[in-house]
This record gives sequence, structure tokens and C-alpha cells, in this order.
Amino acid sequence: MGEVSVVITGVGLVCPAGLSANDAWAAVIEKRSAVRKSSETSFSGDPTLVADLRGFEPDSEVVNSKVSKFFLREDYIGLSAARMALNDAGLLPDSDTLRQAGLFVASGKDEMRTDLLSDGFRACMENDLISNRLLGLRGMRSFHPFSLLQAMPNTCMFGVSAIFGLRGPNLTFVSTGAGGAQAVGEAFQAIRQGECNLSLAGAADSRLEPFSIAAFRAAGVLSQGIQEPQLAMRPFDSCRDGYVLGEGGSFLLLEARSHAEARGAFPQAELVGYAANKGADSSGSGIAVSIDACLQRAGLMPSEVDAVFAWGDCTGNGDLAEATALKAVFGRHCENLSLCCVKPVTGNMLGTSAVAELALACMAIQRGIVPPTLNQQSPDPSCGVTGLSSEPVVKNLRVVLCLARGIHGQTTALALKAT
Amino acid sequence: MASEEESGRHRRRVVVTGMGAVTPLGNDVESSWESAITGVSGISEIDLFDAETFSCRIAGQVREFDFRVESEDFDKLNRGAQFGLMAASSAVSSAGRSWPDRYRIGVSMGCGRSGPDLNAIAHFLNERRDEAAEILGAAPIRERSFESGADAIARLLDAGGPNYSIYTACSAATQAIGQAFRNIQRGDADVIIAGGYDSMVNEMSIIGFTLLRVLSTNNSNPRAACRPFDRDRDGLVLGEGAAVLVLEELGAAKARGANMLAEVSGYGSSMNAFRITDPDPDADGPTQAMLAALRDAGLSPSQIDYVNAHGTATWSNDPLETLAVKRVFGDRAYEVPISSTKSMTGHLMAAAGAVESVFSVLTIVNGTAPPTINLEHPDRRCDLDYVACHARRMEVEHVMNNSFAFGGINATLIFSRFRE
Repeated sequence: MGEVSVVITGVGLVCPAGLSANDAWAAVIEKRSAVRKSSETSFSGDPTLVADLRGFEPDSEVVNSKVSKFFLREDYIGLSAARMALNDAGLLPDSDTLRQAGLFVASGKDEMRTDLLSDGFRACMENDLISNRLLGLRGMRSFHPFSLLQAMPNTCMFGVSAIFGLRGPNLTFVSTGAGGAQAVGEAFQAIRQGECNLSLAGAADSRLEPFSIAAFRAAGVLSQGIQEPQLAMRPFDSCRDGYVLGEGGSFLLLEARSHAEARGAFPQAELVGYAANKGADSSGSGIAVSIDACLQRAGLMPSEVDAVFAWGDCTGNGDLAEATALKAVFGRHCENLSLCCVKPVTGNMLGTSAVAELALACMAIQRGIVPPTLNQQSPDPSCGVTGLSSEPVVKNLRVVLCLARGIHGQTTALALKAT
Repeated sequence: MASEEESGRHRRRVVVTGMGAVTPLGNDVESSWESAITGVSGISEIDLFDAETFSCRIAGQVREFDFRVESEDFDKLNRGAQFGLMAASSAVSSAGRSWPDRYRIGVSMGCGRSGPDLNAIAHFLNERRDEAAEILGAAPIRERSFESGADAIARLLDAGGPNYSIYTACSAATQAIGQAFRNIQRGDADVIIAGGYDSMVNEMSIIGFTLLRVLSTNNSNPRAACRPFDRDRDGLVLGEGAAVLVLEELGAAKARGANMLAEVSGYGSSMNAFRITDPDPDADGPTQAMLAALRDAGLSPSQIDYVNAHGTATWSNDPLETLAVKRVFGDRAYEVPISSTKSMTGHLMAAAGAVESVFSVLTIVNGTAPPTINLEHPDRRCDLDYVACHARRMEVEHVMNNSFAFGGINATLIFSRFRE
């Protein structure tokens, strides 16, 4: 092939199931779901389901840095995950090695964070409405001086660059869900094409506030299974009714194999293929096209895939489309193919989930274990997927595929290989 | 870094075969360009909202925007995304056709966003939560997110290839086009609809920029307000709009006899790893982006005939950008014409790099460099040839387009005259 081989030499993960990659892996294997009821995040004041980070403390070095005034919670989460990935890869902040490094990020930030601006808006109300006149007169004193910069999706990328000293090729995606996989895919391609020798790639999401939850609810994608939070997310199940929003951050350190070898870094897995498309209607054709293209670019046959980390966001059409695509691509090989979905444990962290599942897939390859999938009470016959197991499966994993999907039907596939 | 032989990369060539634009200078490419080369300003008093008590009351607004695209999504989209859909639709029309394999057509957009819904917030703060929820329910996450414009464009054009929504502030569209260039080069798609859309002419954005002290407050003379490289400049002026380029793999474009407006020949990006709003005093980040794009294009600085500057007219950008150009071009920096079309359009933020890419391509096609208007008394630290006040006829082979963003992100594109 002659192309640069790209390996993963560091993983960082901060998620509701655990505040480190190892803790998250343990929770996934032990089937400890982080989904819970919360009354703080709903617009109506009624309890709602979330998968939040309990006990997360922002990195004190970051908090004390002079750039911390620009950061919101998701930026701190992302910075912690990025530091973990660098540590895992044995790279020192501000080293010469990192100077050339690329940085590809997906951000879950959307509009200005209304909840953080409430006091400012209150100061600008007259007759129960927000007054333009008062916004003009008082806005300057009422809002945080850096509210605009805090709301920028690329502030996380700025933070990682400024604090750890990365200066190379870069991009921030705002494609909810698929963005994390797009970031990893483009970092992979940048190394493969020789634009840089190494790159951080990852995502951070934290949208557990009333305005975002209301907007996701209005789209009809959130589970209503409030009675039994841990049973709420049911991938490919007849009773599935949507997902639970989670928050978290995850970064991977990708590196040209020769570069990793030269500095004695341990390659945890090799990234061998990436494809992105759009069109996740219930026929699943967009997903199938992405899987096909990914395998073809990786030089792999479908029969060589040992396990798939499914996106499985538990929406009616989403899971059906994914199941249809898997059957179309893998055909008879489905019998030998292991499937898993970790979202019932972690919640749907959107772009972060796409990266977190790659991190967990790396760990799965090294340990030779396929994680279990929770809440398989009544498998949906129209999905008809095989290969899901409610218990961890010991299996030699040579090739693992990770799928992701955006809220607008963006589809991605990434292929990992044992080193 | 791996050499080309080591990486074994075979790079496909990428050409521009169509363009569309909606800008403060006009609601299509032709009228925007005509205004730009005649030095007309698109800056005027804000009338999208009542700005009477705001310290900044001027912007580059899109005027008389009464187009409708045959799309069920159009009315649901925010203002910026509507501009994007319109520009994408006209870009594809000008490129001449739709393509057969939907999975080989991608979309790559620098995506702007709308301001918050002040009515919903007021209801929320008044504890009228049901009413607030109702307003939000009318605009669920699929319609109000950054990516809704890129989604609508893909649906309008039935594009099933890579769908990239990118936000890196002022560099977003330049990076979206650069990314699309990469995706076609390595074969992920054959056609990508690439550009940017944004409208930040709203209350909260004006407050946010005012708090950063980067907006011009020359309210009494809007046309003269945006003065890049001038000693009397007092900040940037917000603009709004969209621009879209159809990028196409050379072989595919040739096969269908497409009109090749220019070739995309180089792209580079870098990060300052310094302050969130400024590069370091040596302007190393912007310098590295330009050098990366030149390396990528296989060109030397002496081959660049014109530079479309970032040129925001903020106090810090213009001298540092000038310094970076000097570091890249050496003694030749004084001979390369550079201009900031933001002097006329204002700063279109996530769409800026796309509008400036359209102007860069047209500079090649028409042999005319657009001017930097309002440059009457150059800042003494800004001593290059900025094509002051009047457009200039010139032969142009290679053009460089720079964007330097909040968040310390720099991106450079190089466009070249198409030659076999």
C-alpha cells in the first residue's frame, strides 16, 4: 500500500460511567449504568433522565491558568480527557514533539448558554420582556465579558492548543453525534497524507441544561422511560423509545507507526479505515455505504470483521437503519460477528460517544473482550440483529468496526485493527 | 514529516466549477463582485433589530433578500442558514448540473448560528415555562443547530457524501473549503459543495463583540467605518451572508465539460497556542499557515500574485498580519498586492473565508484585484501595497486567501489559474 500506518498510542476518557478510561471500562463490563433521574435539568421542573459526570473536578492546573476565563464545563471536561490521552501516550505538554501535532475536535456547544446568561437577561427585562433598549444600555455591564468566546465551539480546541502547545493542522466539527468520528477520521487522514506525524482527536459535550434538553425532547429522540432509569436505553429492542443525553469528553492520540516506534510508544491499536456519508433513513443505505467504503479503504473483507461497536442510540428509525445496514453488508457473516452497544451504560454523549466508543474498542482489542449490551429484554424482530450479548464475551479481536451517526443523518465508520 | 514518496499519496486535482454568494454587496456573485471592484461599501445602519441604544449600530446587512429556494426546510432555517441554502443552490446552478452518484457528492460548510430566542428566554425567566417550552418545541434541535444549514443543502442537492459542519469562528469557511479540497484529493468524494454561512447581526452578538472591544463605533459614517490597515481604524464591522464554491475532481469536471474557473492548489492551517484573540508578537501562527499552504501547493512565495487579506481592521490584527506577510514573502512583501475586501463587506465571520475565496477566484478570472477601501492614512506599521481605494488590473496566476480566527486558528488557501 505504501501509505503511512496510523496507530493509537493514547486514550483519554471522562464519562458518566467513569472518570477515567479504566473506570469506564470496568463499569461497562460490570454493567453499571450511569443513567439516573434528575430534577435540575428539565425545563418543566419535572424529573428527567440524564447521564451526568458525578464527582468530576476540573484539572486544577487548567483552572489556575490565565485562559480559564474562557472555558465552560465542556471545555474543562475536554481538557481533562486530552491530558489523559497525552499522559497515556507518554507525551509531555509543550514538548517539541507536540509543536507539530494536529488537533481535530468535535464540539457539542450550540447556542449561547442561556442558563449562564440568565442574570444578565433579568437585568434587561421590562414588562416581562427582554428589552432591546435595556440590552443596549445595560448589556455591557450585565453579561460576562467573555460570553461570546465561552460560547464558541472552538474554545475547547483553543484550550488544548494553548495549554499543551499543539500548533499543527486542525479543525473543529459541530456535527452533533457524527462530529467525534469525523474528527478522528480527519486526524487519521492528515497523518496518513503526511501533513503531521501525530494528532490529538476527540470531543467534549455537556448539554444537560433545560434549553438543550427541551430542544432534544422536541425532536422526539429522548427516552421517556423515567420509572426505571437504568432500563431506559434499549438498543435494538422492541420497547426502545430513544436515548438519554450524557455528558463527557474523550480524546485519542493518533500517531504514525514509525514515529511511535522511534520514541518507544506502545501502539494500542491501528486505525485502518474511515468513511463518512449522509443519509441514515430507515433503509440504512447511508450507513451501509459508509461501512463498505471504510472496509474497502482499509483493504478488508466484511468477513474479516470480528466485532462492531454499534451506534445504537435506541431511536426507532435509527436502530432499524443500523440493523438493516449491518445485515446488508455482513450477510451470513452476521452469525460470527459480535455486536455491542455501550450507550445504556454511558448515555448518549453525542460526538463524545463516537470517540469514547473508539477508546473502549481499543481496550476491547487489547483485553480480548467484547463488552456486554444491557437491556435486551425483547429484541425487535424487525431489527433482527444477532451477535449482541448481555454478558462480556471473550474473543480474539483482530478487526473492530465503530459506527456513529449524527442527528441529521450523517454516518461514519472507522475500522481498528489489533497491532 | 513523511515525504510524498513515503506516504505514497497520489493527489487528485481539484477545480472550482461553480460559485454562489449572498453578501452585503449583492445577492449574487455578479453583483457582489461588481460592487467590490467599484469600491462600494455594504456597511449601513442596522435595521434587523432596534439598535438605538447600542454603542455599535452599523453592520453589513444583506438587503432585499426575497429569494425562495424550492425546499421544505427553507422557512425553518435561521437567517444565516437561509443565505447558505440560497448560495449553494445558485453555486450548483452555475456549475451546470447535478451529479449521478449521490454518495460521491459531499457538503462542507463553515456554519454560523442564530442568536438566542429572546422570547423563549423571557418566558423561562418569568417562570412561564410551558410557553417557553412551546417556543422551543417549535424549533427542535434538528432545526436550530449549527449544522441545520449543511443538512438542508445536502437534502436540496441530494448529497450523500461526507457532510461536514465546521465552526472555527472567522476561519470556518476557509477551513471548510480546505477540508473539502483534501477530501476530493484523496478520493472520499468527487464533488463537494463547500463554503460558509453566518449572520451575527443580532443583539447578543453585538454585545459579545462590544465586550471584547473589537467593533467599530463609527456610527455616523457607516461606509467609512471599516478601515483595514488605516491609522484611524477603530475595529471590525459585522457582516452577514454566505458564499459557496462547487469543488470538483478534475477528471470528473473534464468528463462533463465543466467550466473550470480556477484550481484549488494549496491549503494549510495552524494554531497560535497563545492568546484567544491574538497571535504571538512574532505572528508565528499566521506565518506557519501561509508556509504550509505554499508547501502544499508546491509554490514559492515569489509565485503568489495577490493576497486576499484577513484584514479585519481591528487594532491588533492588521499590523500582525502585515508582519506575517513580511516573514513569508521577505523583500517581495512590498511588491505583492494585498487587499481586504472586508473593508466593503464587513466581517462575515463563519462565512468570511468563503466570500473571500469567491473574490480570490474572480481576481484570477477577471484579472482585477479588488481594493481596500477607506485606506487613506496607512498605519505606519502597515507599509505594504494594500491596493488602496481603487481596484487594479493585473495578470494573476496564483492567489492566496488568509483567515485568522478567534481561538488562535489560522487557515490559508491558494487558488491558481487552471492550466492542463
